Amino acid sequence: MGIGTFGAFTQARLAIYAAQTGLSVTGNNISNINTPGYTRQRLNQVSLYAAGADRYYAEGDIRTGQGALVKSLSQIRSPYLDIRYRTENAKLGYQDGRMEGLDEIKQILDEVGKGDESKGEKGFGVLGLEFSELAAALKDLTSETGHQEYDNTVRQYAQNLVSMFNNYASDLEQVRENTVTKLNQNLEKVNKHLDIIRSLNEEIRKCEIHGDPALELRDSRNLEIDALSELIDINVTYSEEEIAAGVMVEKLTISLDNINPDKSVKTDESLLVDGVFSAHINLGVPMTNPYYGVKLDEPSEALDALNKLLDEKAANGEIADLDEMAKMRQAYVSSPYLNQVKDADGNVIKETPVADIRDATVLTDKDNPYYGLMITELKNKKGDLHVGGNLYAAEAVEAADLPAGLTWNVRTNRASTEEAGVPAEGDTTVTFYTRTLKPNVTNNPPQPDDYTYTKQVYEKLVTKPVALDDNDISGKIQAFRELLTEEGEFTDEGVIANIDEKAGSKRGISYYQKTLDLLAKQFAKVMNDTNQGFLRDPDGNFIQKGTNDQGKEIGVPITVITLNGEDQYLNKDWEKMKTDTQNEIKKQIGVDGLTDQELKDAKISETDMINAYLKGQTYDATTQKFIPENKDDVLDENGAVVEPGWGGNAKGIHVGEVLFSNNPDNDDPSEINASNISISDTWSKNHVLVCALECPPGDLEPASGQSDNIRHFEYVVGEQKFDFFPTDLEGCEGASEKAMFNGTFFEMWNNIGTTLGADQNYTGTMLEANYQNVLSIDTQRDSVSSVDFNDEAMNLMMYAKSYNAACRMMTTIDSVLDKLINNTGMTT
Amino acid sequence: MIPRMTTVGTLKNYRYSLNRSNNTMAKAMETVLTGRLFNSYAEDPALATRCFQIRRSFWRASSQLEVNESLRHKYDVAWSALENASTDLYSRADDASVASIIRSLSGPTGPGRPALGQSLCAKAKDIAQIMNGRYGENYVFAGADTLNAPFTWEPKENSAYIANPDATNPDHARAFQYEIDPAKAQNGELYTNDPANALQVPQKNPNYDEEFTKNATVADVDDPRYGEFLTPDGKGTTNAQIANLVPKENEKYDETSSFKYLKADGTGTNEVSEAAQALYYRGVPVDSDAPADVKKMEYFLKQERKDIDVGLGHKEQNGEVVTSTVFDSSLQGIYFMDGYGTKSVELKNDDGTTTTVENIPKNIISIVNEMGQILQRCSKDDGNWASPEDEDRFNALAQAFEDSNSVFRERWTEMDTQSGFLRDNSELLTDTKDSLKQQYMELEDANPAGAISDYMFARYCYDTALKVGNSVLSQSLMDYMNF
Repeated sequence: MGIGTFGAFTQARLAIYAAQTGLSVTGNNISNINTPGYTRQRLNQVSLYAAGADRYYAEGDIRTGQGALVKSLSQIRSPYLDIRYRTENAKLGYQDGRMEGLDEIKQILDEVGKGDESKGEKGFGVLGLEFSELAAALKDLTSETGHQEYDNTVRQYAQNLVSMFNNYASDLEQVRENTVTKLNQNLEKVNKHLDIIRSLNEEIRKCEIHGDPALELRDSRNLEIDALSELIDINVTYSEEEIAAGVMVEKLTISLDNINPDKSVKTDESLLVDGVFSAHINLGVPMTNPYYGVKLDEPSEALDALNKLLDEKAANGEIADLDEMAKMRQAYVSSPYLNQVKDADGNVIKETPVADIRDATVLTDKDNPYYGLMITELKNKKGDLHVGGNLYAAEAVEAADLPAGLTWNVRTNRASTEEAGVPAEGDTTVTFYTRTLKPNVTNNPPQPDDYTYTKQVYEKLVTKPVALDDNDISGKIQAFRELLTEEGEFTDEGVIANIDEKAGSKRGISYYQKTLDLLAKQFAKVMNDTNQGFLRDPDGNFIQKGTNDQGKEIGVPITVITLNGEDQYLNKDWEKMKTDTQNEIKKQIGVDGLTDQELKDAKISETDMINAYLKGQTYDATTQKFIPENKDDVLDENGAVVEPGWGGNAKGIHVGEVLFSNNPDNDDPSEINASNISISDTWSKNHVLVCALECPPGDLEPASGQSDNIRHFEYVVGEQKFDFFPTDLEGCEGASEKAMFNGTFFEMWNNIGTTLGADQNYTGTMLEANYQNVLSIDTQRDSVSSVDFNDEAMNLMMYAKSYNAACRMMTTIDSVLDKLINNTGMTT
Repeated sequence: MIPRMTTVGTLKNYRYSLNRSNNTMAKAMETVLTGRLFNSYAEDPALATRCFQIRRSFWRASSQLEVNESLRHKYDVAWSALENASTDLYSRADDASVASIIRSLSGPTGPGRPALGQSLCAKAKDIAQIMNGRYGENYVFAGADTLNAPFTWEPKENSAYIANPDATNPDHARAFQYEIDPAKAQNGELYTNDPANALQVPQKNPNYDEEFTKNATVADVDDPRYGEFLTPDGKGTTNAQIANLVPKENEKYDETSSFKYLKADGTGTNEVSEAAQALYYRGVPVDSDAPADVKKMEYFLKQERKDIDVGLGHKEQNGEVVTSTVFDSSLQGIYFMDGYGTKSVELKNDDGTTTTVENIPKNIISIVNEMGQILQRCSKDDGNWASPEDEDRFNALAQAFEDSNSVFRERWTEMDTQSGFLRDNSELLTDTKDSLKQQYMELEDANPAGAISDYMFARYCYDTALKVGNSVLSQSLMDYMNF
């Protein structure tokens, strides 16, 4: 059948309508040229063609199309470019976050171009310069020994140096705190993005059900996904979801991008968004061991670790009372990682209800030193848990086999066991039932037997939180995490072996804090050791007080034993003493039972033995220390001696005091770090620098201007190279035993700057490269999706011409029909 | 396929490029303003590290130069002091020591000798004072004892003095008059000062003549020369059994051992005011031969150092300084004054024989002082020597003084050499410092012409980019449409 007499009018009408719609779409594109994330839209037209056979065959009847039909609007977008963009964006986010942190560290530790320019040549560098100034002050003191003003100068430079250490440590701690804040803020951003994407998914789903493609909502969603991809690496997939029998809508799924190099790890594929369900990423899974959370298959070990941790907290006074302890224990135990406690045979001996797991306490940074992340359960807007997952099976069932209590959704004709409360909490599957009305049903309403039923079993995947492995994510969040946790050479070897083999070369704020701590600690130790010792004569024999014939007090060498009528003296050089003398020393300090190897294993050097002899100490095999440890008596509150010090029993003449302590109000040199290093209480009030230890023969004190020890100070501050061992730092005993650096204090300080500079340099290069990549891909995306004036101008012209043509067609048809109707066959 | 360049894409690219151009210009501007090639480690970590190392070396060289200059001045002061001492001692001027000595040796000059003696003693004091000179607040010639004057005149201590004699100590024998009766030694004492506890022995006859006693007849028994021993009534006897018993004298007994000080005549005293004045170097009597004193003096001269890093490579090995890498800045006054202790001097007599004079001090100041003392003892009337021993001693001291001249000059020259080293080192350190400064400036400082032209070029690029920006959005088909 051909087109009817007036069909051509319809043709023209459709053409006008299509051109008008086209102009409208073009107008919308032009209007949104500056709208962020806007994807250009295209009008999809089809030719209207009435199909089917005529009732009567007519030869010569030609079928023509009936006009243009506006079918739909669509977006022009390349999913492949989206994937590439988001992958690169995560890398860019990572480098950007890292650069942000390194820049903050740089403000503190990079001393290039810093300093007081008014000092001229000496106005370069800050802390580095203080080392040089201290060495110079010590040099002045070598030639001006004994003059207090020079002694004061040394102390003042030492004070400047420790103040620098304190300031830098405090600034670094501030950077760390800022980074924690940034991490939290960015996690909030992630969660906000996830929530918005979930909401948009809901909206888009609703629109789709009503036949609206919701293009603008998709643009908004894409913008959110792009923003999310900068913060964490994501994998975005689109699939079809059956929401009712035969009704399919698009489902967007976002998961982590499977970037963990350890392929056995699956948590790096965890779901973040699944249609209308989304999760949150939070900080703070309980970390009872350093391995980023406790694995489910190691619960008993975890519980042990938990108990140990709680005991430690109690011992440290961090837990005020038993109630609080019980509360904390419950918080830990109710974590998702301790829901099953097994005995040695693997039998479950304790199981915590799922409800408790959901209430797992989010712990503070202090309890989560590795800033472990947890992905929460997927929930929809109402807070219902997501129960989707892998389909196990789909089978037809009879009405009689349906479980009782199913509530059917009359719109979707679906029911689930979850809604019916059939499965017990903790079940790992959920079953969905779908019903379809049989044909020719007359019952109204239909009865159960009027339907056919299908049973679908899903694995209940995401009803519990997922503890992320250390390397499960990338992006800015990971950059902040690494800035907070990566310790470079200070990393526990267990972490390198079990968690991240590259951890030893990743350096964050912790690394720089610890390096500064190590430098401060080593400096304090060397200076304190250098400033203490026992007086000796020019032959190296340690001396004690004696009296000469004239009744004057003189220094006489300490005799260890007498061999063949000859006194054997205690010498500073172990090798200079005879074997019998050495053995006598060992005997008196209680190490005569140890072999050379055992002495080596116990890290007892020959100098240690000489010092122990001089101090009158004995070796305690249990503590592996020489006791008494302290020089001064330990007194109780009443002034009674609780633990006598070695000062009263010393054989030699001990001189010197601690120069650096962990607090300006005391002389305690233990656990010194960059933030607490101070001029000791004694040094701040007295002139205690030991200028020399060697006394002229018979004297009880060195010559007034003797400066050999000051020269030695100068040497250790400015010239001596030290091995810096990460294990020397408190809390880093598990790190590699290799020295991380060998050099002078200044060189170590310089090395911190160099390492930071190299890190920054690399990060900067990568940042630039990633930025270029992102820009390039974004340009490619724009070449597909963004609006172009020339294109739209062409469209404008095209639709305008079409509109005009359609109108012309209408006029033409009107004209010919007028002829046909009014002028055909009529005579005048 | 040709990429579809869209308005939005073009704008994004332009925005990025403009930003880059601005960034490049800002960096070029920073280089011009700071005059530095780099302003952070990150810009060139290796270069920044090198610059810091060079700066560290520069600071070290600066501080070495400062201390070297200070030492150089100290040595200048020392040199001048020795020049003054030399003038006082050896010049041919009338008031020099040597002139006084020559005049004293040339024969009695009436009352002149005591006067010359006074002059020499004053000269000795002067020289000691010169050697106590200071540079800044430090005594130049005090070795490492820079806070205390090295040369002092103090009451002459008795090295034989024992403050708390111990009768069981064989070294304290000189403090006891008698050997103890073993039966009365309750705690292992060897000696005693109590005659009642002393070992009783037959009294020796001081006039005993062995030959006379051998040939003596009965008549000779009353002769004082008879008998080795004395009986209680004072007569001689050969029979020890009937001899008078007396406490056994300790041969090592030194009656001066109970005195803290010695007088000018060598006898002991416990009164400071009565004691002779002796020259001390850092608390040790200069002319003492006591082992403890000698040991200390040897330490001062041979072992004591005051090491300072003046850029010789300052190194330690096994906890000990490598002495070749530091400069020993200690100047021992005793060294320049020709030492310590005493020596023997042989005098040639007119008859060709020699006379040995013992205990002649080696130290110049002591020599001059003692010569002065001897001259003061000469007769005020005719100037004759107080005793022949004085004459011998004066002559021996004069010979020692003459000998000391060459030693003094040799050591003075040696110090001059050290001073010269410090001068050369100063120049070397100045050169090093300048060279290091040059090095870091070359590495750090931007060439102004290059920096400015770089900035101008960056600015030109930026201006061009701005200009391009005007035309990025200028025309499209839209502008040519005509309906």
